[in-house]
Amino acid sequence: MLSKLRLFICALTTIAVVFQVLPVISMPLVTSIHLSRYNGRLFGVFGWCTVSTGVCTPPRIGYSMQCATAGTSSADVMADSGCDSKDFAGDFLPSRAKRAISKLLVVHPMSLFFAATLWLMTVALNTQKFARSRRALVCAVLWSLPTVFLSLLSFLVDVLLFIPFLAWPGWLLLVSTVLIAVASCIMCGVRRSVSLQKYERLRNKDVIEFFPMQSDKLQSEESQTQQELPLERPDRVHRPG
Amino acid sequence: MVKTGSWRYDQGHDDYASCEALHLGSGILLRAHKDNPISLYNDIQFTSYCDDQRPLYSALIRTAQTFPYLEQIQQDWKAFISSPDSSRGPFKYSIYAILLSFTANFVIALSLTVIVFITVRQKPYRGASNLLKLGSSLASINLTIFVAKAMSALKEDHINKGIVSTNVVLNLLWNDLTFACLDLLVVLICELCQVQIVMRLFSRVREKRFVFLAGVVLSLISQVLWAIPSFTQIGKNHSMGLSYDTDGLILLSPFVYLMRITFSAFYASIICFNVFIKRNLCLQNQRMILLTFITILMIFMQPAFFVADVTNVWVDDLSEIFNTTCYVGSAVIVWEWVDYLLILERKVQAQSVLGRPVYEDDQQDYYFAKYALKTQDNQFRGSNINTTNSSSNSATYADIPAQVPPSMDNNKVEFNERPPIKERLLEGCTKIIDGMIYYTDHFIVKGLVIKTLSLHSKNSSDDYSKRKAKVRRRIGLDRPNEVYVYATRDVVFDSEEEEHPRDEEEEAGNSVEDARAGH
Repeated sequence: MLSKLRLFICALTTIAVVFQVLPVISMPLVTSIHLSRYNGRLFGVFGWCTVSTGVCTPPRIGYSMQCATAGTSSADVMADSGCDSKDFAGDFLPSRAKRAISKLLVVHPMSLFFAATLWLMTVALNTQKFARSRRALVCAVLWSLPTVFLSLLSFLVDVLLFIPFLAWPGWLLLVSTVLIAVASCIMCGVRRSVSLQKYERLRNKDVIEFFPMQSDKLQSEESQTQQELPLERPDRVHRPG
Repeated sequence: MVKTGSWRYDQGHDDYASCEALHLGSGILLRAHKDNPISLYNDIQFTSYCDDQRPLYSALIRTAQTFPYLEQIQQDWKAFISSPDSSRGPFKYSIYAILLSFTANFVIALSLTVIVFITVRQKPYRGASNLLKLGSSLASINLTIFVAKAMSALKEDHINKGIVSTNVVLNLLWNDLTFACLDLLVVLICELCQVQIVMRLFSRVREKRFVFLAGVVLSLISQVLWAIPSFTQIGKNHSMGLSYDTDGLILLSPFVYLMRITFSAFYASIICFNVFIKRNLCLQNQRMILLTFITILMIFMQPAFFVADVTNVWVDDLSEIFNTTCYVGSAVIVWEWVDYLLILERKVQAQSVLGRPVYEDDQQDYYFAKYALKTQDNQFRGSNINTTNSSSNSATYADIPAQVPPSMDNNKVEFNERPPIKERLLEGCTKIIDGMIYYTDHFIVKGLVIKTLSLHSKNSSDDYSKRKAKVRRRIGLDRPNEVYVYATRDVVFDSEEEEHPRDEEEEAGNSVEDARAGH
């Protein structure tokens, strides 16, 4: 049952990571994916492009007003392309947010990094080495908390910048957040189960070892005492493990 | 623009001719002062009083005998109130809506404070309930001061200018230092109360400890980050000429705002998860159903306001007042809900066969105690052996707890050197973490766990006398004259003939038990 749950967690995080990759590779990296389309402009995480001319800004965090042609590596200002250095003021982003706020889109790659690391952790949890490790499970649970936080934050940033023209890659982030949250909850459950199993194994043994001090003689002495008075001192009974 | 440090561009508005100079022409009779005679002016230019280039509502009483407004002013006013939402002319942006919202918030905060003082029990969470009372009281005081200040400012405007401006109230909301300071404290206290609530929902000690540490740290971080742009902006407004990194502040302000929304979404999802897994208790009686419904309403208030905010600037201008009420509500109502839920849960546990669940975390202490008892027992036995049999071997058992470090090597010369920096740093970090865990356990976790057991106790004096009576009854002090005499009796089993070692052992055990009962 636990191994099935671990596989399920891995599947959930895999889908979540894929959903997080799509917004990150949006405009100007992949021209067919965009976070929003507004007033003839297509917005992505690292820049924006004009619909009519297909000219994009160079990829960077925060939207710039300087455009580069798709073919050239150096920034080439094009006054007639629709993305010259004029300031669009309140008309640039759909939600009337100031252009400086677009720097908050940096949470997208951060969120992807955290989600990818979580995915690696969940893969590792399916291996034999970490399958029963409480420490690995605790690490994965703790890591999943900032992952959910950043994922939700990146969705909220998209909402703040692009509502009411938010495209499907933006909404995928909400799905990704829910998936990671569910995976995190299941991981908590698995951690509890593993912890309980380990404790029960320890309890069933019920042999307390005095590692540096117990000699063989003491053990034999104790077993002798048990035979003499087994019910008078029930706390000394060694149950077989 | 009221909110000068806003991360959004100001909404555009139309130009109104009455706010510019109106050319009235010649032949106007005017009396500048009651002591001066009336004069004839040839060329008059009239500018109507406008607020941020927008027409204002006049608060003057007008009758049939008074002079009518200028036609241009009337036209501009009609254009302003019938314009689209973006120019803030319609009724919902007027002073009435704003007055209604902040007085409603004031009344809600006041009611929640009364609820806290009436219903929230002092015991068993004395510290947490005091924190809740402090937070709600501060919120009420803050809103009382704000309402008084706003009314005073509106009265001043009415007397001096004959107008009622929304910007006066909104300016006060964003630039008042007292309001900002008290609001910072209220939100911090409410966030700490939310941490306490989440801690109560988790049963395991380790989880409680983690929730406490993470919750307190995140609450402090969010409040410090919130304070930076808010107080910088207020400082900037109060003392002109100071230079600030405007871009950084503009970026920080929405980031903290989103952070708060994220935390409230986390909080809402934790509560909803608990509502789902304890749905039987939540739907047990009418009162609990109502309480659960209000709880869900309160916890989703803040995310709902976020959605309203990104679509409507009106809410953004008043978000601080709404925030205060949302935080106080989500702390007070949810506290009451958790209180009631835990009482119901304990009632169910008391009636069930299995009783209260015990977790492995709690059992660790038991395991260590058992280990200690066993060690002590072995030590005792060892010393007995030492006295009866004076053999040299028995000394090895007597030294059972001697878990001393290995003796120092005599051939090794040791200098009184300071350990390397890495070790010292590691030691320091360990000390800090140990200290944090110690205080967490002592002041919060242990208090919660231990006091949970006496949850049903309401009055301290009653509780004490009841407990005293219970103990007296248990040890027989309530009936001192009733003396019972027990006689010993040998038990004879039919299966005595069967010479089975196990049966013999049982018999021996039973006789021992009987002998004990007889004593």
